[in-house]
Amino acid sequence: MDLYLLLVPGLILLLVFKYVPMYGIIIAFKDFDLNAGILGSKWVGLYNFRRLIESASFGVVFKNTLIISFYKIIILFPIPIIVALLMNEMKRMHFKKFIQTIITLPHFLSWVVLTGLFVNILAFSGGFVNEVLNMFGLDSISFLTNPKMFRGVLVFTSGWKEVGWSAIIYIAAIAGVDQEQYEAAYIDGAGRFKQMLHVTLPGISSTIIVLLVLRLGGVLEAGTEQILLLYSPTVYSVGDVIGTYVYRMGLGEMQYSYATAVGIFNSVVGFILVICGNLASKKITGKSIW
Amino acid sequence: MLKLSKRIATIMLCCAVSVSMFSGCQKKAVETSSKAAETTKTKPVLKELLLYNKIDYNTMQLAKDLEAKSGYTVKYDMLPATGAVDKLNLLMSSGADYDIINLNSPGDIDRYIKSGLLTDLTPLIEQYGPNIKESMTQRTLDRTTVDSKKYVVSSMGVYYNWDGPAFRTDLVEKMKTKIPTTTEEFKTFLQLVKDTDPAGVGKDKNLVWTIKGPKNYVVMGAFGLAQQYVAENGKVVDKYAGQEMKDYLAYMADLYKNGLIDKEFAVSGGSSFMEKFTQGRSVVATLEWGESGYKTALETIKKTSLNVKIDYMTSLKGKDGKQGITWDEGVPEGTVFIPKTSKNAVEAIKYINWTLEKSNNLYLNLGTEGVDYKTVATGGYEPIQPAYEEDRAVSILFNLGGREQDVKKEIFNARLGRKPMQKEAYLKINTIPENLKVMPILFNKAIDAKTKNAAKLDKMISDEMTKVIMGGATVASWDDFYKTVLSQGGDDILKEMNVEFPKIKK
Amino acid sequence: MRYKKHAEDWIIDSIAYIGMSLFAITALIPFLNVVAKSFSSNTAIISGKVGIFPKGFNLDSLKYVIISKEFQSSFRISIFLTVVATLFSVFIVVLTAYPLSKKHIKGIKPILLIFIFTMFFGGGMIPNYLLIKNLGWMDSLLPLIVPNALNVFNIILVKSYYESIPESLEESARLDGASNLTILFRIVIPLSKPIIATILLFTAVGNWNSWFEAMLYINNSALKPLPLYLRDIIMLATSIEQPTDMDAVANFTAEGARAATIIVSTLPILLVYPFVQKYFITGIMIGSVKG
Repeated sequence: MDLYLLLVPGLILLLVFKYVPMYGIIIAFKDFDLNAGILGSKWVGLYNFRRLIESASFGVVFKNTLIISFYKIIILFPIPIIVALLMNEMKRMHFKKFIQTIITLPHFLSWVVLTGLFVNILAFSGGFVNEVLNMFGLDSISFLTNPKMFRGVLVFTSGWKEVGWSAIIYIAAIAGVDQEQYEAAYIDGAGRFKQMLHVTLPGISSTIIVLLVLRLGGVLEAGTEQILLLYSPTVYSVGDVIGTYVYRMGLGEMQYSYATAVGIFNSVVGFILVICGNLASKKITGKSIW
Repeated sequence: MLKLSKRIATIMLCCAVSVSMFSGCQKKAVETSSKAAETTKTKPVLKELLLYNKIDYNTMQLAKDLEAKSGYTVKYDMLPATGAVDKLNLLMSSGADYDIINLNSPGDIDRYIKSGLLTDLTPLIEQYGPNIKESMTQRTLDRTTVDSKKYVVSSMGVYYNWDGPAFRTDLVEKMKTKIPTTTEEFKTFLQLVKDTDPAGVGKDKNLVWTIKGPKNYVVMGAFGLAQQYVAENGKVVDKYAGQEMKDYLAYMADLYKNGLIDKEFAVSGGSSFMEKFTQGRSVVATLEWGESGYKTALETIKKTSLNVKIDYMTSLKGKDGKQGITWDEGVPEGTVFIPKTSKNAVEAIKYINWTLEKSNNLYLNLGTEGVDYKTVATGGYEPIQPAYEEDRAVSILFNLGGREQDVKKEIFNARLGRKPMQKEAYLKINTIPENLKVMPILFNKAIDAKTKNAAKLDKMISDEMTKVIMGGATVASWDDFYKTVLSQGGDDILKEMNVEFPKIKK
Repeated sequence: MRYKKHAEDWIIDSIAYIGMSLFAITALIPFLNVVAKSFSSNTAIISGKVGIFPKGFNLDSLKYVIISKEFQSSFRISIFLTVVATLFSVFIVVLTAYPLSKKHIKGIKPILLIFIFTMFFGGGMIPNYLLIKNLGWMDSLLPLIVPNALNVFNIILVKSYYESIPESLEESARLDGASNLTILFRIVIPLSKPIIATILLFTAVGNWNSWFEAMLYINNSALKPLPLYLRDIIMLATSIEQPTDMDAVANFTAEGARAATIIVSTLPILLVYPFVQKYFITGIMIGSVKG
């Protein structure tokens, strides 16, 4: 059938540009030497993986990665959905478009810029937040150096930056819900809230599931760039994640093999989670990615 | 409907064609011009790879001057600013045919040498590079020779400290005191700043002393820590492992606890560091002598406090009279090498050799006498502005090694004079009496274990120092911590150093 | 449609309007701060005195970024690149997602898995570099357009959207003798405008901001895209003893330059944004419209 033909361009691109270079994965199992190239370098088996897993702080680092990632998923996954739902309730089109554009702005600011900003706002002495707290008679909080507060800062700042942009996909999904369904619900006596619950949410449920399952794939990437900029030695115990740890341990060395091994480790875990997530959603909701 | 897909297909086709034409055009242009160059010159075109610069090196006046004077045409390429190491590695491993690669710091040279990616320069220098040989002191030659083979042309620059503890002298005078000279005085001074708030910023905004990191070489010098590796009783020891470090950490932790150091110094955000100092929230800060440090701070503060003055504390005496400023014999400058895949290694060496001949070297660095620079009667040179800026400001990027035996120092001093405020700050920081300069142990060759582990271990040590100063770890726990440093490479370094130490010619 | 205003309406309206407005304000302020910095004097930036409005109005940071031949050429390259790469990628994604959305057809599921596998595993920088080199694509724009055109994440999003389109519509078209291609272009795609607009936006922004591939594969500075140029000059501004043409322009700091680059790279996106926005923000109706 010509259906298969439609797959041909995509398959060609896939095979040439994703599968042909895939032999590079074996770098992780070798001691890479520039001159010998990937194929000529010495085979070392699981050495690089063991190097990661058996290293002194791996336990702490792995735990932190999981905790921070799960915090981010549990807290930050629903918010863009809620934002999209609220946006949908706004009927003044011009205002809605304006607001929608504005809330995506933080996405365009790099972490380098945002760190400068947050460090100032959250500063222990003279920072905006603490000044407000002091006004209400509360003690200043050292957000960035106190292990108890640090993870919260990570989640909050990450959310603030990405929520607006992440909401776009849900706004688009909502736009795809057949308007007639709202009509029908209204006739059945459903108010706006009930309509949100019984029309909108179910209408975008497959999008939500797809995004949630895929999000699980990135669980071992807890925000390396953000954390590298915001953390400092006193919060390593709670904020040091795989990405930041590997960065520090690899300073001064050019370690393609090691970096690739870490990447594969992260990918394998992520991939397994996605498979599980997909199976689970198939069982629970009947919908899945494949 | 098929029309629609046909339309899209045609657009795609057009795009693809135009893209390939576009890129094809570029290729053709480059090819024709280089072919033309090759046929009209007897000397081959040399391809040189350098670090990133905003302006294309090929368009710079200096490139043209050098070509005119030497007869060699050099085509310059740049590495990107971000990811330069990755790009260089890829270029090296895929056999890019540059003739000269000119980097600032040694970087991953050892790796390239071990992998056999560089041309052995020894015979070439013997035959075609007398100036090259002459320009490097024995020490530089030793340090760049691996297995009796030379792979790198490099030179030692003048050593200097890049920054130091800077004081708002105007506020110091306001408090009717002076820049402290002992650790005791320093503590009293800082306490005075805290209590009197001379800049009037308010109790909670007063940070007193803003530091950039846990290591402060002037203060560390007062605890005998000016150098990490020191020879004692014929053996090399690691001072960071001992009591002196614990004393230093205790001192700093005490200051921190009493609110005399910026509580959030460890959080990165260099801009807020400058903000704090220029707003008067600290009276002591670590400022570099470069334009972005001293000069910028002065100009910024002048906008709010007209009579601002900044001076540096250049030494501090500790409890037992210990004092010292970290120093070194020089700073390795320029790493020039030739990849094995170069097609013109001989000509490249000849060219490098040409640049290291005395008058050529002066021409490269200083320009034309009377136009760009003049000779000072008492010795040395002085740039003539603005001509020097226009013609030769970029000369440090074009240097292929340097003449350590004579003009390198003078060129450095002359260039300092380009920017008077920079020179002022430089002199304030680096005018140190000879007896206070503490040199490291001068080994005959680079210590491999150090090259391999230094960056990682330094970070570990800095991080732990920060923790102790901030009270997140106790001074007593330092010994336990240092055991990990030793096991992760510190021991290897000491071992190797002790093997090399007896070999040093006395 | 809704004529009466119940209490519920007031509550939802206020949560929506007030809540979103507050959020929008917090999102806007830092952005305005960045804009302000790009117009401020370096002493004001350094002493942290810039708020939402510029202080010590000064165009030097912007000049540093904009006044250069490389800026103009890289800007043009980026526009060209973004348009071509985005159209190409969206085309491939929209096309490929269609057969992949037909789960029940023989062989589709394993093929889908083959696609998904590449979301997690890849060869890395070195084999890709060698591939491009062997194809003879070094120093051209092709490696910036073709390899990344196949975005599996987007394919999954689009495919999921296709699956929500009622089978009945396609069935009836098929019964009328329409081919798959016709169904795709005449029925499915027009109904998928929101998701297509979304991935168009995502892809365009991604291409507009991409610099890594350009860094690896392009040496000829005439082909450098904008983000690479901007990154490089920021690096330069923050590194210490580099003589640049900045010696001629006195009043400038790394932070100001960084702010200027953000403005320069974000502004074009914001200009184009409304055109795409209208597709995903308004609803569509399958079937007839009711008053």
